[in-house]
Amino acid sequence: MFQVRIHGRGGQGVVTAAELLSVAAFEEGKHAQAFPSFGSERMGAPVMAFVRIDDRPIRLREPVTRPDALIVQDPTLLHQVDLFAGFPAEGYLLINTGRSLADLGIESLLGRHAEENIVTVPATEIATRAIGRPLPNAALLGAFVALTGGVRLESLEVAIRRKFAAKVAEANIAAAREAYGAVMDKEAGSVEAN
Amino acid sequence: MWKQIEGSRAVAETVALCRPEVICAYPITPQTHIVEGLAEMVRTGELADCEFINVESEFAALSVAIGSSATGARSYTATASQGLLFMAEAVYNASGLGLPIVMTIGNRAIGAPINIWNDHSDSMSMRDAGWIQSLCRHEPGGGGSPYPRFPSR
Repeated sequence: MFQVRIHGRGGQGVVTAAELLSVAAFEEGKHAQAFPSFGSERMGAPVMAFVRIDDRPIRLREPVTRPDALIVQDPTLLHQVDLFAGFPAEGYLLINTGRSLADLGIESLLGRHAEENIVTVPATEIATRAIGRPLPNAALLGAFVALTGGVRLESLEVAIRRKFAAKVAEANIAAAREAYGAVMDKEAGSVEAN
Repeated sequence: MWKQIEGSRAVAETVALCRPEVICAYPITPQTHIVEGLAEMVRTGELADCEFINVESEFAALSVAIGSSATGARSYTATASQGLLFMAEAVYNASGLGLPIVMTIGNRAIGAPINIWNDHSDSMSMRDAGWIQSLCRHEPGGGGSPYPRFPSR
């Protein structure tokens, strides 16, 4: 089973991101679940959502406490919420930021985490260009696909088309593809550097 | 056909398949997406020969369902938590009159303090109101039963 935890703020689309990912996995014939965890929140409050993907039926109905992948939609949460609770050293980490990890000041938080599993992507900037609004979901999921290979980009595109009207869907798909490409290029670059 | 959809959407689609003729509800978390979905199906005509009646409270929602059911129309409503408590007087009237109204309760803890998490305090508060309550479990097909495999899509 592959487990994902997404951290963001109310209004940023954390719940939608989890849903899109689960639908993409389902498109590939997998079992998937997505659900959020929040109180009676308002815009801007810290929110998280969970995704589970498996080849077998999933019977767990509890929050993801040991995520294989963490998606951080809002880097201002890094020092406010215990984002890395239960996060294993080999887990995938995707952060929405144009800044470096050192800039974010999270090296100490991460300890001896496998660096090749950490990717930053300026998803909000990509979204603002592609969609015209600062909604980083699709871009982050595109980057997630490139980082983890958990689902295929085409499946993500199907999920996006199902969720949004044609024009909005195409803009989101453009954002997803751009972020996907950026992470693939980054990974190709680091392979060459080795 | 298998679908990956929100649980509330699945409830809405299931209710629509039962051909309701009157739906009236007042929105409350976590029931809102159920009646939103049904309202949309009525608006688009996907759910034909059904009237969606907007009301100003849960008490009115069940009262309208009582009225429409008494005329013979297949009637549905949905609520949760404080919404069910606000309906309480009408809940007894519906069962006492023997009206076959169907209501979904999106089980949510009763406040205070305000709480949108799940428990059964709402439906259990109406345990002896004379309604038949069926509670769904998480696992499709029930625990231990073999799950059908996905057909190739």
